[in-house]
Amino acid sequence: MIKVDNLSKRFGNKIALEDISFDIKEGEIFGFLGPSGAGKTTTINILTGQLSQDSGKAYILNKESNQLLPSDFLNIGIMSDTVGFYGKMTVYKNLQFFAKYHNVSLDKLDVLLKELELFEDKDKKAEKLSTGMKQRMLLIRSILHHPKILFLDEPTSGLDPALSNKVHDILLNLKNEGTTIFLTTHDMSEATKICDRISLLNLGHILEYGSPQEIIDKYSQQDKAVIRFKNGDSIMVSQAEAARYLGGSDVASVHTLENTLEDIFIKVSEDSKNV
Amino acid sequence: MYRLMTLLWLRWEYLISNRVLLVVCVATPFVDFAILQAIPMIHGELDFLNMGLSLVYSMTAGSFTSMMISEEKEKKNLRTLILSGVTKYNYIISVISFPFIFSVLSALFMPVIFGVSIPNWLTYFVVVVLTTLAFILLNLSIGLFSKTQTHATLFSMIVLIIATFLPMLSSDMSNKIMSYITRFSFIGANTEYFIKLEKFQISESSVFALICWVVVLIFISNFAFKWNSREH
Repeated sequence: MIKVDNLSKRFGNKIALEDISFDIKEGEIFGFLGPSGAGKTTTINILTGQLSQDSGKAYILNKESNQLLPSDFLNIGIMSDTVGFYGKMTVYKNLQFFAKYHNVSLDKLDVLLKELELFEDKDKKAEKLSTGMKQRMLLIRSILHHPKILFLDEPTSGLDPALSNKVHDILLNLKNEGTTIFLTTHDMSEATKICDRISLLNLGHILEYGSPQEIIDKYSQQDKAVIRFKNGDSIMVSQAEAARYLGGSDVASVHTLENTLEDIFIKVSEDSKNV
Repeated sequence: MYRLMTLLWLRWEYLISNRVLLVVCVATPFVDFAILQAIPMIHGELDFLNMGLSLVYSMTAGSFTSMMISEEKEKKNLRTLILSGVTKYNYIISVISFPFIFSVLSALFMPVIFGVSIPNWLTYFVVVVLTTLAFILLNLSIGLFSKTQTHATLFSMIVLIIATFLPMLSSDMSNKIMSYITRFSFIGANTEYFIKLEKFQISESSVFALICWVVVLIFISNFAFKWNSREH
């Protein structure tokens, strides 16, 4: 559904993307993780034909991204900072336009407004909305027409945990219905929770690529275990050494130290800087 | 077709939620002309209708378009529409429709309301329609190429100044160069209409030049829309 081969992009002397490659299968949630300035939005902009790459290829919907036609965009949903809204129009009018344009029933719009707790505010002018409300309005707009491919640039930033969970549920439902989702985030727990595969990006380079569990397992093998004794003391040993403590009468617990994606990201980012 | 109708619906909703734009661009030329018509020696005089028309072309057709588009561009709505699958023809038609309707109606009603006698209504109508289109397309290009609303406003002011002063300068028929420039400018057919009156014909070279302006500006607007689909 999406394929990127050796993509590079520079802005002046600054490297935005350096020889990155990945592919995304149909019906997959792909997480593109990295700190601000890592190159996440640049990748979305190249994939959606808004920006030209310096070298490499980007394919989407079986064609090169710079060959996308207006009709292709009817199958794509985009929520990023390159899109806007009509501030003086109400939330409902803003969304009603996209519903009409994509021939979607207004009932579906109402359902989404209720689901994302915007129904009560639908007659507010869009410019009067809080950041989180604007995020939700833009999210509704991007998913309203049930696109084949959905690009989401940090969709839950500015949302409280309860609403973030609702967004996750909506995205998982869309995935189950066949939508391919390209999601950028710097929230590692979000990526672990909903992404099938992820790519860790920093300073334009892909540092890791695979399923969240694969990446966690890869780094967990190098990890140590913590032995807690009944007297309250604890020590950290290698996993091989920890096996010797199992079943010991003075041992309260033995457990491995599972790295979170966040720990791994910090580690590989530091490693990449030192290379 | 329903996508074009939806874009027209959006444009209408945009206009009624931005009434200031409507009032400034549609009412101002009328109010200015009404004030001018309050002077007894000017009231009903055909010569002064040209001044009112220059305002209609510059504001109701021109500034209206450039302000609307540059705001849309600055607030990333143009990019949003492009990324939603809006085609350039649907976009351009939807954008020019309301300025075109308001401008043509203003130009047609102005002489009727203020009792100005028009010698040949059909010729007048053709000149008004073509000149309006040229002003709209020129300002559409300005709006699409300008980075900010401020830039668009400044560039459309230049068009307004040209539209206001070029006919005045060319009225001095001894200045052949200025007369020649005016005839082939986007305000040329309108200016010549008010000089020749009954003798003015659709086949005048100034009308042909105006058609060329419209065709070239359609190509430029198309390119400008495409140019905006990418970051620069």
